[in-house]
Amino acid sequence: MTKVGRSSAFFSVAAAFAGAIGRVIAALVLSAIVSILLIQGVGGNVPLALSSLWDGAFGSPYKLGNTLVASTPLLLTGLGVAIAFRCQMWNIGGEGQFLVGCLACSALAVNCPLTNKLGLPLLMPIILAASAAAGAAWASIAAFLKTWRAVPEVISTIMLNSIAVELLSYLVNGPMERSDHSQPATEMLQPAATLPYLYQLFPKLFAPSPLHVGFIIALVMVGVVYVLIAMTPSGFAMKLVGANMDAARLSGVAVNRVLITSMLWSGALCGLAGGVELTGRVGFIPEGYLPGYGYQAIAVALLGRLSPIGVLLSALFIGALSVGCQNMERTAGIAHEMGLMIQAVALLALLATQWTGWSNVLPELLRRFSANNAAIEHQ
Amino acid sequence: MARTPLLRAVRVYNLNVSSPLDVENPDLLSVRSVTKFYGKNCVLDNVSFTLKRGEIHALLGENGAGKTTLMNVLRGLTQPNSGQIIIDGAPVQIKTPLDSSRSGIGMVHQHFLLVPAFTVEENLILAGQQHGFLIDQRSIKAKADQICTKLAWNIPYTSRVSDLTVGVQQRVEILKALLGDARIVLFDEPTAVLTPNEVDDLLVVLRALRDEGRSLVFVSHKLGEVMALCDRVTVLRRGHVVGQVAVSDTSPADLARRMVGDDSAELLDEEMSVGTTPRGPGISVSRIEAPRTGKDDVALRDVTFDVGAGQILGVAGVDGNGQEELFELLVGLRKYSSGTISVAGAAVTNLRPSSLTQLGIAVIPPDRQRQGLALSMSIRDNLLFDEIGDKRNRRLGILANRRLDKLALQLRDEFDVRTPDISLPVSSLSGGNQQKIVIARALSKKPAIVLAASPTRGLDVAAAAYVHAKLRKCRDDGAAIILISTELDEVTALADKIAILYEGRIAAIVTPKMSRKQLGLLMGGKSLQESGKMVEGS
Repeated sequence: MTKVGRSSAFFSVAAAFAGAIGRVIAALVLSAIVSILLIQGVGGNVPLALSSLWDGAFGSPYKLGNTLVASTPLLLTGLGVAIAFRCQMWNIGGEGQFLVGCLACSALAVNCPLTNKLGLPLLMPIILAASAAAGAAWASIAAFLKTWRAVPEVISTIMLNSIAVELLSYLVNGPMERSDHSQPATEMLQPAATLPYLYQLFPKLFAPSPLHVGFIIALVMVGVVYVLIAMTPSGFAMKLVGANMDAARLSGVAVNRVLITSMLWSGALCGLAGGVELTGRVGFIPEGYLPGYGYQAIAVALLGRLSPIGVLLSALFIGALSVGCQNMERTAGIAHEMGLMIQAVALLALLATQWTGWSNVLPELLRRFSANNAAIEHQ
Repeated sequence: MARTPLLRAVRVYNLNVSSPLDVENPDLLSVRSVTKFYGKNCVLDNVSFTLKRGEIHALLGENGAGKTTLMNVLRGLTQPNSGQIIIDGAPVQIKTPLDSSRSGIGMVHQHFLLVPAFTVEENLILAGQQHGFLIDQRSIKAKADQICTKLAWNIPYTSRVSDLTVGVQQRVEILKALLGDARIVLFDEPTAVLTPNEVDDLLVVLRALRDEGRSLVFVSHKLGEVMALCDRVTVLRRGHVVGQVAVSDTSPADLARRMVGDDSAELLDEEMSVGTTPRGPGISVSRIEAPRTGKDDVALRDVTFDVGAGQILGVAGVDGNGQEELFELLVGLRKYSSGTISVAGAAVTNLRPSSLTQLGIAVIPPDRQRQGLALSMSIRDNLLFDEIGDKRNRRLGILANRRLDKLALQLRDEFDVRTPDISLPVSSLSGGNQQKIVIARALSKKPAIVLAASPTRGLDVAAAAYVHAKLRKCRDDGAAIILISTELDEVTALADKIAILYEGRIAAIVTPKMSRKQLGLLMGGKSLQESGKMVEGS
């Protein structure tokens, strides 16, 4: 009997793996077909559009660098959202936490008297930690409202997004407005508060590209989150709370504390994304800055099935797609909106093909083949 | 035996037995070689059985034997993968409940399919077949009246179903089945929700229905009821038919052996060990008042009891009389406005689920899937819920996974969780093995106090006996145990004393030696005096 159990377990693992790969391929084919129809429909040059899409994302080390830079904030916010979602804390507030992280980072980097005295290696950890702390603090408002007053976190995080947007508008037009008054924006960061490019640090390893240290920070965070959720008591508690809150409570887990912890991690990662994006790419916060990473993070996290590795893959995919679409816009003259539509189609196709029913079909077929044998052995 | 007016009325009524007994073909229904898979699981394997005209046929088996699936096949709620159903000698296709009704089959479900917010009348209309555009309320009512007069039932048509007792709700459910002129009525575990006295009433009704010429299928895992009521019995085990015999040709012991399929299995619980003297203070609850928190719960009123170390207190009562609320109170999920709870002689303030371990209280929650297990997680993880907080199981903040693996394997072996691989999801286990995981977590830490709520719900005889043995062992090791259960047999078999819970109050604390009749009356809300008189009077 044991033998049957093992071999069927092997079958189902193999089938699930094959199913996962098959699903991704099916999704890509499906979205390619729809995209071709869309491009054809607006009278675009399909072969040129598709080749420019690929070329824009992966065509050269420089372009690949662009893709990775675009993926970095998605990866960090995606990880953050995934941690919260894993314990059923539906943090829709990644955007607000991201913006607050940007603001904290900018405020500290611009106004701290030590900015120019501390060197970059000392200053950077401080301002990035500040952005993570700001994001966590912003998220904690929703977490405490949830655990103390049972306010649904979906609502409170959305509201906090709006508040963050207005807070940013106020600060950019007032206390944090840059001195030269050309456009409402914050001061440009000093070089000591800017993340260096990787090719500057390691000229032998990296070809020149906008790829900055922030990407490495994001990769490290993938590892940190992996360790957190797979290897620590806190991660186990989060998984348990997400799987069954009542059972967690009855087995002595302090459920509220776990929910708050997950929300703090979530906010910290989204805030860190803000700090990394500001110091690595943008340099200043313009009026009306609303990049939407916090919202895209939800798609990234769900597409990555809330696992750190999955989030890494989905962030890279979405980053490549958006960079590729920008190139398609430039090279093949496909409208910007069309690029957004293609991205949306790809996302929908990937999510639609995640229907787990497919993974049940294969084991079912295998079962039919092996049912006779199993029945004989069983007896 | 004292008879309630209802019982008398049914006995007196002269039922028109117009059973068209077809001598050449006495089989009304026959099921031939039905096989049903759920995914990989074969739940019915080549099952055949026949139902004769005018008999009550028991379908006996443990949980998971396939009884309910077979009923669902006959009711058109699920389709078999292969096999044939023959009614009156002609094969029929039953694809939907409507097909089933047309073939003359009605069903009384274990969990009633009634709309609680609707009145009885509206529920009956819902069940009645609609032919025209307008609802023919009058004819439905007339038909229902006719049936009720025959059975001497008094059904409050205009009351909402949610306001009725479970016994009356079941009558409405039966009425629904009879409205469709069912010749074959399937009863899926009809006694599970009733008090012992309501069960007696139901058995009388079932006999009356048979004597009218109807054929009944009575699904149960309770041997006593089958022996008392049925004409023939088909025993199912793990999807196979392991016997079809006349009740007069068999014995409870024989049926039990067939059900479990193991001659050597220890089926009968040890006899009760009454009146164990407490070895020290365990847990005592004094004058607890816990008000209602919502519409559907019960207020606990003046709850007082005391369980010493080495004692089992059984809390008996009909479901919905405060069992859930008492459980929540004792695990610290329900606030109380006055009264005290003391553990080991010291009053506990601020009882919370997260302080239970510290107080030495272990919990076996009533609903293992909802409160005891995380179904999406592995068997290993489910065995380890309580170990994660233990500092010995981590190194520098990282879980010592090898140590935990070993611990999980140890628990698996000690508590006999039958699985080749603990990394499989816990949902792959049978109910009995799932419950063993919950028990393992609760009892492995040598708790001073055990709170066990419905610890054998949905378990087969062997698994239930296992759980009982573990609880007895734990009691003998000096734990104070509170057993909250709606299974009276379980309570009388295990408890040293029984607290009867009725409408949120402890109606009486009595010895398990008390007659079942009187226990039943107490559970139904009679006072100790009243019930004593009624039992004497019979």
